[in-house]
Amino acid sequence: MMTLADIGLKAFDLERLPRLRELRRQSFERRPEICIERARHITNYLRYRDDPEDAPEVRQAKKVSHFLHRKAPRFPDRNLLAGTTTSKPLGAPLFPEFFALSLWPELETVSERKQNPQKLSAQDARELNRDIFPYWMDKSVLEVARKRFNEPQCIKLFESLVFFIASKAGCISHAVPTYAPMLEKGLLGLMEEAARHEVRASNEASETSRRQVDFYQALQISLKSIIAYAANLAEEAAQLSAIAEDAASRQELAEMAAVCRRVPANPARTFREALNAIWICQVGIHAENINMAMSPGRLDQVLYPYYRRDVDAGRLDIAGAMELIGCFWLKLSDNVIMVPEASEEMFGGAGTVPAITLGGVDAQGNDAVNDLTYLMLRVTELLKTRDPNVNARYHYTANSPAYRDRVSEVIINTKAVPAFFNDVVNIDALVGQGETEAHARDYAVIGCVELASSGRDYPASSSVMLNLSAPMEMAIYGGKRPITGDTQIGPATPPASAVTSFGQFWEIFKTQLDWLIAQAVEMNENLGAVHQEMMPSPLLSAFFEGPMETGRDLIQGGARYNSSGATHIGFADMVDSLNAIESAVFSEKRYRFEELVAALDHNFSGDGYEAIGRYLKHRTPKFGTEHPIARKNAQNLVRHLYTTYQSYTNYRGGTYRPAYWTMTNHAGLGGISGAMPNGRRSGELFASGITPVSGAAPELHACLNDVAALGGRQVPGCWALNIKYLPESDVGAMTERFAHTIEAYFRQGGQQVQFNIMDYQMLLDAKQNPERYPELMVRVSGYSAYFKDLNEMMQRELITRTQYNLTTGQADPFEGEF
Amino acid sequence: MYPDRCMACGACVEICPDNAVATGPKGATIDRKRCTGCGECARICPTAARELVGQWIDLDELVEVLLRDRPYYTASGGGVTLSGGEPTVQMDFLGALLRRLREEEIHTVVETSGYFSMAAFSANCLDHLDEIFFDIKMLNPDRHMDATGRPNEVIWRNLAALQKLRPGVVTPRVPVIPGYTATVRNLGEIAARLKEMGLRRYTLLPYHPFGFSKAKRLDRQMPADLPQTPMGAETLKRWHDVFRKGAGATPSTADVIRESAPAN
Repeated sequence: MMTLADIGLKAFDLERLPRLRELRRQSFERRPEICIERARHITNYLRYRDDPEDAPEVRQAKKVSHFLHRKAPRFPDRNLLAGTTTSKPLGAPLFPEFFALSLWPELETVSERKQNPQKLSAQDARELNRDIFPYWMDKSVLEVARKRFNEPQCIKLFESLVFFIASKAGCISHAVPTYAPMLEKGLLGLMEEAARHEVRASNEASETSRRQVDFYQALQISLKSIIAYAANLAEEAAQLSAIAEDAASRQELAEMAAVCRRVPANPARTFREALNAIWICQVGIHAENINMAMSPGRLDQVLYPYYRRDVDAGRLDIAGAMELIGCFWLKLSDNVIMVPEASEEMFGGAGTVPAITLGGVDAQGNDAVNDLTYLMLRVTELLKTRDPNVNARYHYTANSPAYRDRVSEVIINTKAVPAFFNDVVNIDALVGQGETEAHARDYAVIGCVELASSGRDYPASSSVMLNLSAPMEMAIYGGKRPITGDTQIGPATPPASAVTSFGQFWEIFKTQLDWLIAQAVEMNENLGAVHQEMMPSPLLSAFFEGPMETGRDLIQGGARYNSSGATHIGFADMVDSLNAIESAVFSEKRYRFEELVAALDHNFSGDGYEAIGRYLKHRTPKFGTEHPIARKNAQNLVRHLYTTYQSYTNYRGGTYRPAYWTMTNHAGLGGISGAMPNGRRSGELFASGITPVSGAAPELHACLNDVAALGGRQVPGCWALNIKYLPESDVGAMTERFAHTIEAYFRQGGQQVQFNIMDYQMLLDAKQNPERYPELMVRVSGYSAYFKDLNEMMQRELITRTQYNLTTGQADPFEGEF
Repeated sequence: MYPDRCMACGACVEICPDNAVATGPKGATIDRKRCTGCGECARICPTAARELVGQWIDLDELVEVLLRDRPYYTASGGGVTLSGGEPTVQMDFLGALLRRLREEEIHTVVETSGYFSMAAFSANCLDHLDEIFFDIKMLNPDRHMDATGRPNEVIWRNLAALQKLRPGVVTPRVPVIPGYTATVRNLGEIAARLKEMGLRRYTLLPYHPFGFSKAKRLDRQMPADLPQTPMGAETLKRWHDVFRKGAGATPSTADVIRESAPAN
């Protein structure tokens, strides 16, 4: 419901919200520190107290509970919400179950390295080196999988990093829990429910019911440990209150103590209790699951009843609510992931991408935009922080143009956020995956762009990241790749010189692609099996629909809907490569296939090869120009990926869902990939997400139309489309054109789009003079980052992205120099 | 020709049937007297340094391309603007296109120099378009002839006829070009005449230097007296004031407003 006089809330700025202004300032000053607290406690538990006879869910619950009971209650600043992800103000927790051991060789350098250092004290480094890491030598998910499955080829492909990335070796996370039942019943209420189910199941004598009993016990242990952490927070807050010097601090801390004594154990009564309860549960989830894309979801919907009640009772005003929302936003950004130097290329500068989803429609399909939606948009506009990743859903028949225009204005003002999601197409995409209309309408964004029905859908949306240039090279070189030398990797298909038609080449490409997908799926299934044994999620399961009823953990397929997500890197470059082969080799017969391959081998340098490279780059059909060949190849590739992935069933009984987002991998993988038939030279970047290749799509509408034509049921994992607009001085006029363009793109079928409102010159300047742009936030591919944190490759990618002039609809050519 | 794209591969020299292309130290050059515009060089060029301006397209194909953007027309309340060059040069095609777009219920605008046969325009186009943006450059026929190489009587006559045949459809637009149209006298005269004709709506188009890069690609010279920078909003505003004074404008001591000169 809408009661605001001004949906832009212009009267509320940071001057009026001094607490947020100060917390924001502090957040920009903080440097990441590695926190070993979790690693220490879980290692101690496993080393000294673990009972291998326990069921996997119970072992996991006890391990996490051991940590949460001992987790230090911290109050690092004047944030009104209690609870911290780590013991540091801006901390990177360690998950030795995954890749924490990659830090081992860098213990002495990680604090001082040039790119994004993460501080680690000498004492903590010693503890990791002597006590913690040695225990984990052969116990990470990947090492267990290696042993269990006897070093299969798929592991080798994964570890070479140039074929696909199997994210389960690093996390599952990537989910949208639902906090509504917790807020209504309290954790104690959920525990009672679990206890009743446990009693029922223990009266049955089957293998299934025995496992259910284990699960219900694990769930109760987990939730109890969150309550224990909240109790520690309450006690600490009370003690700090007693010794605080000024009255205001005493009061705040006393209130926090009261809040933490109440929630999340009991039902939340106020907006503040509800927010703090969610935050403490989010901290609890990160004791169990790594802090990657764990997304709170539709907070404007979940929290609205609490907001409305407080406002109607006169307990809360707009400024007070915005202050609490801002506190929550800043809490969500109190953690980063530990990134070893080797991974900087692939993931550098990323936050942890907890996604918040605003607006859209309710379960009945009616306009769900409410006052809280606008408060949250305004807070996002004011804070301009990397995390949380805020996303706006827009339903072009149910939501108002005023809402659409307001979201557009926030994007122009922040230059980057939120991202825009098309309700009509995305809901249909989830219905296409067998979700009910009502459940699909309750979707929220996970991490970058992936879709899930809130608290019902466990999609492990980042399971596979497939490098599409790998099957392209294998198709050209008969199953080998220049980067891996003479080793036969994929099926031995005919070499380029023997290919006589584009149709034949397309079949060969699909053969290699399907083989690689099979490898990636096998890897994911192997890792999934290890997760079932080693990393169940009884705590996270408490915040989902399904596990409570079925007595099955999420990792055992307990959620209402199950799937695994596979995303793709190099989409536009591979479509353009297919176009180039089809047109230059087969329809125009300008070059023989061998000539093209020789030009690739020579990286388009030297006698004659340069001309071939330029021709391929400038004169062959490009995705994003509405060229019929390009559109056909793009659609064929999307369709083929969809059918192939959907034919697999995962270890939780769900299907695989293709998606097109790339984080920073398009830059990292581009940097190590050879020349491509679209004229891209070796080591150059790939285009991000589903975005056309930079400079290849000179007209905005043609670009949007080509992308939009791919939208719908065949892209259930959604996509990231990056569009860069030249800033304009007249924000009002720009907002109007901006909003109209969104409207048309969505009506054509576009699923998602995100923006950078910045020009070539400014970004070049920011690269050369980072000190002038300490807070410059940019959209990467599905998430935001601070430009200064990005590595050289990624900065280049952002600078050279096609910049469109929204007034003329034309791209401005990039003519800068590095 | 985009010289910075040229890699001097010589493919265009080889393929040209008229021997109009040669390679020099700065890449390919073209002898425009020999060139027949066949487009072979543009087709063969690997870097798109050679480009043939315009393309052949038939009505159905063009309509198909234009309709792809229908959602944008709907969302913005916009439509198709037919511009140029000069669209009335292809009067039959223009008329046919306007008819098709009218059938598709798409809003249309024609931008024209006004130099066309009124009989042909009213027979082919006038009933099928929604708006006309009509360029007016000068009132004085001699100076118009000097600047554009064409007489302006027919232009003013056409404007009057359009206003009579479909009142309200035509909007005069005056490009404000320093040294040419941008004089107090010329703009004052135009303003007075438009007022006489009952044309209250008008647009002043600020000068922009886009012509320079185009001229370079066509191996042509631009008049040396034209500025290289676009006209600022402040300057344009002052020309607006001049225009608004219209017929009653008192002769100014200076006939020209200089870019970024302080307002008096």
